[in-house]
Formats: sequence, structure tokens, C-alpha cells
Amino acid sequence: MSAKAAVLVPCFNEEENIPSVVATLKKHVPEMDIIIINDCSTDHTAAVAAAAGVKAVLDLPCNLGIGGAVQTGLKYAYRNGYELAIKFDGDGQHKAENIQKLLAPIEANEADVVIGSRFCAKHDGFKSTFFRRLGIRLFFLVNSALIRQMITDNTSGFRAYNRRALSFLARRYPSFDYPEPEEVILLGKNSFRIKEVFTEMNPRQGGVSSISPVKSIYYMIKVMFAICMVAMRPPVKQEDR
Amino acid sequence: MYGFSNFFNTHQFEIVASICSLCFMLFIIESIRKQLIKEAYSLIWVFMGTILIVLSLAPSVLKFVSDIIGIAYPPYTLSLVLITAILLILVQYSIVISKQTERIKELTQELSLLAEKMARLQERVEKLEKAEKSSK
Repeated sequence: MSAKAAVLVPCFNEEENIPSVVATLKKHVPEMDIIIINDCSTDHTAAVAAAAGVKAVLDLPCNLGIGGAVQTGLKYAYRNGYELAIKFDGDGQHKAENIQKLLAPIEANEADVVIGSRFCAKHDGFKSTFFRRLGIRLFFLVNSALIRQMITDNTSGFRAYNRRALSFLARRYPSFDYPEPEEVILLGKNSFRIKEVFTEMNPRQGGVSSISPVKSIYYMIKVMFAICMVAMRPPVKQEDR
Repeated sequence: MYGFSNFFNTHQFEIVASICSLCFMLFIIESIRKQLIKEAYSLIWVFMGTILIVLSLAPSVLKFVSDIIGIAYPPYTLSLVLITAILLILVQYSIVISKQTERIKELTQELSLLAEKMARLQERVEKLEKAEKSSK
């Protein structure tokens, strides 16, 4: 692999997970540059990240939420000339050994964006709450209908982008608390080629998930509304990209 | 004295409404003069204030407007105008807040990107300075 690739790791209060996340990334993809985006954590994430020996640590002075943090990483990757970018959660739920698998369709020029999906192949029961599974199912139906393509795992944050998608998203990434499903629609609407690859995910290693079961319903309604709004907008004009 | 009391009784609502609208207008103009409100955001207030003053000072206009929209009790038209004005202004606030949120996000992102760049440059400068010292 010769193209310059960046692994973007958004973190919010992940001091416990950063060392192991960085270690697995260095082990499995040593040639890639690791970019940690610290979304104004209230714990020692900043210090731990700085000591982790990565390519860059982007410390946000205000908390922007996952969307704003990811966009910061995308801007960094775009401006520093990276050809490929991988979004990799700082909580350790994604597996670094799957990164090459995620990049394969992009390198074969079959896709602009690849989503690491927990569901697009046989899976041995992803454990989650009832409402969360219901939401995932709902996103699958709505998003697939809206962009006329099967997207089984709309909430997966494990994604790979080529330069074209990178330059588009660096400017237009949804700045929302839970941007993943909205991002799928945005990309689909703007005729980016999306592909899914089956990836297993780890259960959380530490810290607290950003979505508690109680908030699931509220989250679903909010995201559904945002998705409908994105779907109702016309695609971004070529000259504005 | 009897004449004034009679006038007041029949035009009580118009008088109170006019005084309130004028006071409101003065308050708005004063706030703009002292630059407490930016001109761009104040125009809508001045506009609403003017409409309120016209409607309260000229009962015939208020009556005319009420007849058009089918309201039998003219003072209610004034409340309706007021509520509509507040609604419009609140929506405008949502737009302004959204714009500002977007700008704050952009600034925050730029700041972190610049800080990272500066840290990298500083590192490089220190390295160069060290090399310079050792070569002397």
C-alpha cells in the first residue's frame, strides 16, 4: 500500500482506552498516520494522547460532539494531502486488523466510502438493547429506501474514505451528535459509491457509551428527522464541492 | 375635567396601548443608539414597533384590519399582531443562533488545527536551533 493514509480517532474521555487503541493500530497498520482528535475531554485524554506517540493530536478547545470532532480530523487529513482516511473509534470497539479489509474496495476503485458493518454477513448475535436493535433495523429500512442501496449498518462509525469523499466531507460533515446515519444519506444523495464490508466489533473496553438505552428513542427520532431533512435537500452542486 | 374622563373611558384601550407602544419604541431606539443591539438585528424590532404604534394610535386602522381578517373585537387584533411579531423574531433568533453555532464550530476546528501546526513548527525550530548551536 503506497497511498498516504490517516487513521482518525475521535476521543471523548477515553484516557483508559487510548493506549491500547494506539497500540493495536501501530501493530496492525504501522504505515498509517494516527490522528487523535480530543473533543475537549474532562479527564486526562489530552495528556494520554500527547504521550501516545502519534502523528498528531488535535485538541478542541470546546466540546463539539462527535460530528464536529470527526470533521476536524477530516479537515486535517484533507489539508495534509492524505489519499485515504479511516475513522476509528477511540473506545476500542473497532478492530485494527479489519482496516485493510475496509480499504480493499477503495483501492480496487469500487467504492468511495466503505462502512464496516456488523450485519452484512452472518453474525453471531450482536448484543444490544431492544430499542437499539429496533433503531438499527429502522435506519436500515429508511436509509436503504432513500438512497436505493442496502446499507445494513447505518450506525457503524468504522468507515474508510477515499480522497474524493474526504474533500467532500471535510466541508460538509454533518455536525450532529450522532452523524453516522445522516452521513450515509448525504453521501448517497451526492452519488458517492458506498460499500459495506463485514467486520466484527469488540464489546466496549472501558468508559461509558455515548448512548444510554433510555435516550435511544429520543436519539432515533432526532436522527430520523435529520435524515428526512438531508433527503429533502438537493445534491450539492459539482462546482460547490 | 368631565370631558377628559369621558374621552379616557371611551378610548382607554387605545391610550394605554399607545403609551406602551411608544415606550417600547423609545426603549428599542435607545438600545440601538447605545449599541446594545446590532443594527442588523434591530430592524425587525423597529418595524414591529412602528406597526404597533400605528395600530394603537389610529383605532380606525385597527378596526379596518380587524374587519379584513374577521375579528370582531379590535384589541384582540393588536394581541395577534404582537404574538405574530414575537413568533417571527424567535424564528429569526433560531436562525442567528444556528449560524453562530456553525461559526463557533469552524473556529474551534481551525484553532485546534492551528495549535497542532504550531506545536509541530515549534518542535522543528527547537531542533534547528539545537543543530545550529552544536555546529558553532
